[in-house]
Amino acid sequence: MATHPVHFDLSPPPLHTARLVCSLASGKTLFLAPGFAEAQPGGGCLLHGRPPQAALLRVRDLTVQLATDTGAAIPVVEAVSFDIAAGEAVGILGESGCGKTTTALALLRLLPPGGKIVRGSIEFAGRELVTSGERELEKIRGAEISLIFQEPGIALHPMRRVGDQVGEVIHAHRGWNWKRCREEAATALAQVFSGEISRISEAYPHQLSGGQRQRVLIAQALACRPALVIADEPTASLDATTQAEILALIKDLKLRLGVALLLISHNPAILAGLADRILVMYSGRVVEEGPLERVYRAPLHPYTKGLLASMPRGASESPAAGKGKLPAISGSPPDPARLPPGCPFEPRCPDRLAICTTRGPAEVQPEAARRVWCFKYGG
Amino acid sequence: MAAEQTSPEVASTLLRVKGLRKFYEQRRWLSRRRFVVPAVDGVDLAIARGTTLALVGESGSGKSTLARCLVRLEEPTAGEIWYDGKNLLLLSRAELRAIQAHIQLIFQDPAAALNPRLTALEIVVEPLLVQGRGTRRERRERGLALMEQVGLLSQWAERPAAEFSGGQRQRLAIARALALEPRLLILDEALSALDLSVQAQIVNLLLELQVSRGLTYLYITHDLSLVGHLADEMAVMQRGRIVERASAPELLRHPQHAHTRALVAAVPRVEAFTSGQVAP
Repeated sequence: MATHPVHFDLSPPPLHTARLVCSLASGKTLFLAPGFAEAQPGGGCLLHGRPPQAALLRVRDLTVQLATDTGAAIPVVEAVSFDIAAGEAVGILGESGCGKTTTALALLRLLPPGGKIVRGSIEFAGRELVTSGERELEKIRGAEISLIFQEPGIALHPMRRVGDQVGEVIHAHRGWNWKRCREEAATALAQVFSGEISRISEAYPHQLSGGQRQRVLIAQALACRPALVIADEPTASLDATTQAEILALIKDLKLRLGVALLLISHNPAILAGLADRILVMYSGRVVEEGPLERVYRAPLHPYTKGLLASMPRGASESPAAGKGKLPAISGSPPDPARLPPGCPFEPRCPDRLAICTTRGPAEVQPEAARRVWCFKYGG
Repeated sequence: MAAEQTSPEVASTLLRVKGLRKFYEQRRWLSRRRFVVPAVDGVDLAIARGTTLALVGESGSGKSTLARCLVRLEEPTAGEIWYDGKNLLLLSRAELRAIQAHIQLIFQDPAAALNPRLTALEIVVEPLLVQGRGTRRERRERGLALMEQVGLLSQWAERPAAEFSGGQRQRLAIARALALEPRLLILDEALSALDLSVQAQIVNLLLELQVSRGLTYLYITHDLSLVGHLADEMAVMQRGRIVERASAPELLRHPQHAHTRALVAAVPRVEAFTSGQVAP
């Protein structure tokens, strides 16, 4: 198979300092985000249907404990392993307390006080983040891996113009003069707003709507051209129609910029439009992983099945089928300080076996590209 | 008046709102000019006994202000609120207090709505205490029975509220709201903050309680995904006014007003995305 040329292009537009260009057979050029090349030393190209040869992010056996006031260490993330390829969108689906946000924060080494990575490795573009020093991490955070926060009302400084707040990020990482940073900020804002960039740049957060503030946060996250963007419930505090707009924007940016995404949500419908592959988490563990479409169409783990079944009809098939109950998973997730000895889902599981109470299930690969942790499939 | 009450249409209506208005006056900083903000601008509504009306709208549409007017947390500027044949705005304090026990409000965030230091049982019996009902022992028994009805174990009665999960706290909030034997529950985004599996459990609990106790619900939300499961009727609110109302299945299937259509279209759906519309 012929290798398509990959070379550096230093031409404008100005937001791109050094961009990779992938020339297609049709003669068209496609601009790719930095990080794409590091991840694909062999020049393999997702757009040409060849799988990437190395992951952009490689997480292995990640285990996080949280110290409580009494000094006890509670396991909140247990032996989580996954890869994200350059340009790939991976979703983490799980309910509150399942460890999805802690996993994301651990990737950036931004765990809350008391949180500690006790085991495992996080390899990002060939660098080990678990043992990296704070200065190294500061260069990565916001520039190579950035985070879109949940609450746009809180994440922005209330007394600074939003254009300045985007420019600040560029200034901190690139060290350019302020005028150039503001220009770059305007370019970043232009990616998420369709017009009125100068008016929005000059606005203070309170002068913008919730959806506009969320767009500013997205511009801020993209300002330094990261290779990976983590979005933790990016639409949680927004109205329904605004939520739909922001989801469409993220989807558009993913296709346009080729940036890798880690999307975190409790709602399967929100991930549906965005993620290529999903990890389902329960009680700090990954219980199922696979291509989103296949997991949604034919879930394997009893928890995934229960979760998808309990989705309101309005979000799945006919919204107008009339009043009626939802198939609900009984019980509630176990207290992380008092986990059952076997599989953590066993007390609520409709398919439990005798072995489930004795030990946790091991990884099973029932079909290509899918993993499940359940004794039903061997374990 | 007597004739009106005997007509079958009125007899089946528990709550009727006529021309309700709530205006707020605002003044710009250092300015003498006053601005009138019409939060609720002439709303007419009726809810039949034992049914659910979903009041749908985005933030700022006035739906929560309307709810607060119904329980008299806000004083309406104009209009009438008829509950069970009585105009709430013309009642004496004592009469109003008796009726207010019939109308209970459940909020979005159970963590913020419950005192975290009180025990589960204290939270559930608090309304009985405030209304001065029963002896200590009777209240305790009633509280335990209520906890059982909403699916909370009686051995959790002495646990502080802070130790309960989100879904369990919402169950506690429902148990407390039921303590005074209400007939109308106003659910103000009461399901929005819950996880999916918990949400399904609470929806089922609300549907069961509606049948067993003949409860009437006013379900206020910005998210249409659950409306089909809970509601018989649906009204859409925009800028303080009702822009469309019909039976819930009808409205979800054939939304007429542009705003309703936008809301229906905005519900994130699974099948729309898994049908391969993502660009290659």
